[in-house]
Amino acid sequence: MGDLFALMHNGSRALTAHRAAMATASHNIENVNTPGFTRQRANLAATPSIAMAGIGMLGTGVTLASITQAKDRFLEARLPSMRATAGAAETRAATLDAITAFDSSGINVAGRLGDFFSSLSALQARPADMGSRQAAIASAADFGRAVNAAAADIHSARAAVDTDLRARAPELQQLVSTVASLNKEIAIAAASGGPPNDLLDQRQVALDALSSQLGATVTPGAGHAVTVTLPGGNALVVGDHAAKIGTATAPDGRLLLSIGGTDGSPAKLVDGKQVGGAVGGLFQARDVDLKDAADQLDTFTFDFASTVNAAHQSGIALDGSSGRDLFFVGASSSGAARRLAVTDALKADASLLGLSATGASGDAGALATLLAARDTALSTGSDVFSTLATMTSSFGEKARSASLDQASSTSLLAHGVALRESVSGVSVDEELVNIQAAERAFQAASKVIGTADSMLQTILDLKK
Amino acid sequence: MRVSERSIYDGGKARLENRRADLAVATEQASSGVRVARASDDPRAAALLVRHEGVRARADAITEATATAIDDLSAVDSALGEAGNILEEITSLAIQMGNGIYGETERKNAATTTDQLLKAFVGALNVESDGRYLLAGTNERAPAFNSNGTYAGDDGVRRMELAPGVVEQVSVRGDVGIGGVGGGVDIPGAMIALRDALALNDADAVRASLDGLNKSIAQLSSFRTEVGTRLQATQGARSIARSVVDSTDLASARTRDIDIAAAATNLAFAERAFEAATMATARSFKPTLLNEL
Repeated sequence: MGDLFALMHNGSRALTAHRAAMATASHNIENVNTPGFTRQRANLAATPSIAMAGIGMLGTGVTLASITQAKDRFLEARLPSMRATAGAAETRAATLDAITAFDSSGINVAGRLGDFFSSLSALQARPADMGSRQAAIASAADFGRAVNAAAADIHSARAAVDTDLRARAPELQQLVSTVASLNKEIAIAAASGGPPNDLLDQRQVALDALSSQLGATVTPGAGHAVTVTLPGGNALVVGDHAAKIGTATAPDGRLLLSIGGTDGSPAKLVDGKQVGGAVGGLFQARDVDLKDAADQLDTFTFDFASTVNAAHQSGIALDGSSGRDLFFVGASSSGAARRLAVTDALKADASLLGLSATGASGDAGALATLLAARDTALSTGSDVFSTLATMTSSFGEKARSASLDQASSTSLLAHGVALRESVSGVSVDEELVNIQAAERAFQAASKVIGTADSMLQTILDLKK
Repeated sequence: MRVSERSIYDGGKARLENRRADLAVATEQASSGVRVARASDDPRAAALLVRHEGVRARADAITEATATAIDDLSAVDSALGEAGNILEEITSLAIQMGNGIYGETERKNAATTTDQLLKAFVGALNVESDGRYLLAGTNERAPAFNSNGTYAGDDGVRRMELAPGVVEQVSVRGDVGIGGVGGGVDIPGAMIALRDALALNDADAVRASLDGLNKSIAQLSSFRTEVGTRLQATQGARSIARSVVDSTDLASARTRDIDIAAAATNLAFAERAFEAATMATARSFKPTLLNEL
């Protein structure tokens, strides 16, 4: 009779195990669309057998050994760097894609420059003609405005990065606080049982976002805790302590991230050298790509305007005066592209355009010197159009490279995520099969209990 | 490979997004006809377009500027032709009045005629365009010659870029070609000598003036030849510049614009690919155990 009671006990344990398996499959199905959810498995195990002398081992049924997450550790280790690379490429590409200063349509600095020289060239035949002089001044002003617009385009893109950084800082703070808080909850939960799978998933979502946003790296610690650090070494989360994240202006005027120590130590400023991910991409675009473009445009503008001004100063105006600048560009190349404009005097009076070398109204000897500015080598070693062409291709290469990097890194990340999904994602069909299997097993275990009960009744009936 | 639910839906979404992006690019290129709109589309091509812009603008400027120079030189050529006719007429009169059969009355009448012809000669040489006296050098606001034929301009000349880096003279000097500066004949002076000889009824002086008039004819002819040469050079430069504009436009179009046939093919392919992706994605959602259990 004792064996029959054991049989019923084993059946009861099996019911519990198969109910857990069904609950796990059900949990998986219900979370099929939950971001970051990792499918769970109810791991059943045979209970220890009983040795029967001279006969062998008698099985005692099944038990629920554990509920674990289906994870590929290798993939999980690779994904953060993939997310960081894709995040950086995406923000860099998006920032550079917004620039139109070097497009062949639109602002078209080269086109306006060509118009400027054409209008000067027309003065070779009629240097004293006021209509032609005014047309030349208007073309010079158009060129100046085109350069201003190109500079403003680059400047506004860099300013947009600052706005983006300010908007991201609270989100980043929220993420590190979430990880710190979950570190604490996970430690408590883990101490009272098995791995808290759903909390681990919630934390992984935040960690994924930190990898994507900052290129943060995760170091596992004791008791399921993780430490999160920036590529430059600054700690973001240590245990249940989160860093304070904000923005601050560096002495050189750049808006940077400020990271306060997780131990409460004073905040440090970090830039693209210490940060990766989307924020690193923004720093790269603002402080390297767009800065280079802005500097090149400023240098080009200053060199060219200085060359034209030097030529114009030697020319004699219709009133006999000379020594005037044609363009206002300032004393240094810094910010020259945003300042470039025709001088007020020439804007007001086209007769002050110094074209004559002799003072005769029909002489255009100085105009030849002005036109020669087209062929004069700037500080780049190339003439004005070649310099513009080099700037265009240089920026175009960067924008194209950023776009290709984005495409390839996004594709790689998608592949990595797909691989992760193939291991950790929920398949409704698979879970339905699991439910069916669990149901069948549950029914069979019930049958075992019923049969044992019937056998027990038979024995009890022997006494009657 | 195990396929999860999210793989099916995310994969379908990604496929549709990619095909839609391809379709958008193909549609944009086919509708705009432009392959290189942005520097990032093709950096080398974009740089080439900037260089083309410079070359084209320069050639276009030469085309425009030489048009004025050609008009000016043509006007001068025409004026010199008219002046040459007058000079021929005066020379014929000198030959005629050098004959001993003519008396004082005829010669004084001829002197009056010569004076009128001189004024017509000067009038022809004061050719102008838009208020610019074309033979006055760079002192173009005042007539090149005063009423008695004295040169009133300066020794300046107008130069113009006829080809990149090649600056040439596109005007002629009235003081040299007409005034004889630099060893030539002062043509109005030769006319005045005749007029004065006729007024004095000095047959010998009239005959003596013929030498100066004949040299004047030769000088004027040579001057006109110079004008013709400069005109021809300027016209040639203009023609070359125009062909540079045309060839640069063609080169820019080849660099910037898309091959329409290729664009249409790409568009058709992108449309088909999008349709196929839509159909495949829709079908990938259908098979599920949910319908069978």
